[in-house]
Amino acid sequence: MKFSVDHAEGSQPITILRLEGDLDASNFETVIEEGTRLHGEGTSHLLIDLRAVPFMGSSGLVALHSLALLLAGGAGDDLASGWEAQHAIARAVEGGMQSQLKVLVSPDPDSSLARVMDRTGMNRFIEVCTDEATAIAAF
Amino acid sequence: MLPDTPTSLRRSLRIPRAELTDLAGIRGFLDAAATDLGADGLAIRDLVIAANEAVANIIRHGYRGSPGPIDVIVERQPDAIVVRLRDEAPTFDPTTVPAPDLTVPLEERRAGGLGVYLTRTCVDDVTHLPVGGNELTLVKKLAAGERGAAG
Repeated sequence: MKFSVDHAEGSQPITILRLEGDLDASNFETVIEEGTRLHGEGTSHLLIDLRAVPFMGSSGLVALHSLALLLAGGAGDDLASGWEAQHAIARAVEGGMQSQLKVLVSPDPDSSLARVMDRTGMNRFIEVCTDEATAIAAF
Repeated sequence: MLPDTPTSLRRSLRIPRAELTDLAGIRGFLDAAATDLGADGLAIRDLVIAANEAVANIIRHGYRGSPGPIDVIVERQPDAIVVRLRDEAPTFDPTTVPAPDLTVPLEERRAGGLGVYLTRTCVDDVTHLPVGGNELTLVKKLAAGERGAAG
């Protein structure tokens, strides 16, 4: 997994974390670590660019959810408990779309990433955009 | 026991010491095997998602992070692609994991539920056999246009 970081100005400063490579159980913790590092450096609004991520498993969802909680002032997920993460996602969906983390994906609705987001309801919790300018304007 | 499937309709991969870093290679094998056996892109994506979660759970929870053997077998049946995952971990039947339910109290929740949930939703059938370890069978039915197109 490769990372690069850009910055953009929307209605507030936005950090763009670009990922390259598959996101699965072998490397999702590095995404949490990188997002946590950016948060520690002052990032409050984060756009995660997943357009160069050909595959994402449930561990990727845990990473996204954990960072969303972190940005919202929470402590993140218990990484040992996928079940709890599922429940937390369900609660978050009930709570509506959160505002400080968005993801940017390729426009293919049948990509594995889109299917994972859809099947778990994560796309009702984290806004999924297919265009960078739209994503930045959405913050 | 595996049913009697002609060799031409079966692809297999054995990983003697599977670790999480093997997931990408297993996904690549599944993609190539299912393509070779006549599945279309959408069915392949769902199968890969489902099997990836199941294999990750075998490594993380079955073998508890220590390397262990996993066999991945992909078979073409007349109306479906079947993936069998065999391991030598302690017997665990993921089909018994309850579906996510907000009414379940905290002490009854189990790790791995998110992966199991994805596995179930991406294929048409999931069955488990305790065979001196575990054999997990994932069945993805093919659309009418794909049937009889095995290569």
